[in-house]
Amino acid sequence: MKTIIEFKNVTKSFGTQKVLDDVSCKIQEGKTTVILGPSGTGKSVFFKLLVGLLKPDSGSIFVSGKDITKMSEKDLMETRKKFGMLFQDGALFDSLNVADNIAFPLRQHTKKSNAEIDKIVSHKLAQVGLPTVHHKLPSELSGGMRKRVGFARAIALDPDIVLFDEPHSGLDPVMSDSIDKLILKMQHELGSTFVVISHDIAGSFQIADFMGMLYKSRLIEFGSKEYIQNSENPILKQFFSRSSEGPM
Amino acid sequence: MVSSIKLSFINFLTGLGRMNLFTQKMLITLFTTRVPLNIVLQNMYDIGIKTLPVLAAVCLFVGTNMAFVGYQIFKQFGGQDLLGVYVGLSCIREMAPILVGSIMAAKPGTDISATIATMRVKEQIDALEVMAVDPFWFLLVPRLIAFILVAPLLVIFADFFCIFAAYMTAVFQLHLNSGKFFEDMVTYLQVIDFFKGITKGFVSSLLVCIISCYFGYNSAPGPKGVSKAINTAVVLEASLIVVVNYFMTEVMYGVQ
Repeated sequence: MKTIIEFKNVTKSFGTQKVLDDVSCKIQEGKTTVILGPSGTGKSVFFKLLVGLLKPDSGSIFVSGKDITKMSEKDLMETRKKFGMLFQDGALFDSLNVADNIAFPLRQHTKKSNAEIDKIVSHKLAQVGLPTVHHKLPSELSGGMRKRVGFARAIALDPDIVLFDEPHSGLDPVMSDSIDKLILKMQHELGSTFVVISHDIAGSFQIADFMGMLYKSRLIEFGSKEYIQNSENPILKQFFSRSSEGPM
Repeated sequence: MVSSIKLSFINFLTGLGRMNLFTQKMLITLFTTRVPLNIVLQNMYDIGIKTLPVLAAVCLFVGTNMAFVGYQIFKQFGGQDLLGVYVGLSCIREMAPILVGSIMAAKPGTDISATIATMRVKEQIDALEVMAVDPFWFLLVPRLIAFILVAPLLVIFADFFCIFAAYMTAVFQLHLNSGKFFEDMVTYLQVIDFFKGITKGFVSSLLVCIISCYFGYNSAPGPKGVSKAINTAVVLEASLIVVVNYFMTEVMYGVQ
């Protein structure tokens, strides 16, 4: 297995509050890695550091072997083209319709004709199970549909790495399950590396190859799904059992 | 009490420094990249054409009011014929640039801070960055260019609307001599006044654009963050427009 992303002793603070503390992990290429953790443990900061939106106070972050913490803004922009990201609420542009939202990265970074872009947009929408919403505005879509369109936009450029920020948040259990199935299907079809941050336990076990647990700013466990599932760590046990009693 | 004043002062200086860096980044992007023309044109339409009716309405009433007030003052010593000079000089040197700055702050300014703050809160700016699109290049600099191109034109329109309204009031309501109104105005006004007025309106509009972009871009999360961004931007713009206008008047006309 080849490592595509590596966090090496990464620490990040905001003022006096340490959000990530000495976090190290290796994320494998072509696999789905889920970072679990309760709210406010630095999961979103983990992603922002990964795409270079934030710089760590110390430590290094390698993407395809290159340290992004030492990159110039120009090189960072190039590296970001490897990424697609599904934001919590989709982060679709309100003024653009669904088709234009998905076409956006294609128009910015490729020289494809309008006909080619239209074809790709239709293909991506079909892949996420929304073949007929091209002309709708984001405000006309439900939460689940917005996530699917956000997913279609994230994979528009066929990126090497796709990031999912809380893909289950705000969704009912049925819709959450359909998003999980979509993630599994797309991972199989694209073969890209998927990194998911979530606090949805059932969904995470359904989609993950590897898992990590962030707790109180530290990555307390990281390993294969089976390793995490069978871990004797009392914090993990309490988190998985959804109990309010325990060390957490 | 002393420590609170000290903290406020430090915060003020920090904010000033941040705004300075923000403006520098906008200018570097402006001069080192090719900004998409279609977005500039769309912004010019939003900022220019959509602002024009509001500006026209305000200028027409201001011009009318200036004619009335001027007439009342000059009548006291029989100088009604000076109304054209008074209106011309006041509008072109002061009123039109201030009105353009104020309307720019009220309409496109609030629109920019609200739009960008909402995009920040809804993670759309983060999405742009993750898609390797520089938000300065895509969102902010096209608006800056649109302001730069549109502001001088709006000052010219404001000049026209103010003087036109004052002329109509003077001739048709106050029954002053039509020829005399313009004759004196042309005698006392110089071409340089016209350009100085445009410069003032341009500088005010530029301030409006930068402040609106800055507070929108750095908005705090949530609806309160958005409302605070808009509120702070408008209050600062309204205050700075008159302060900066005063200093520009001092520099342009102070020695005369």
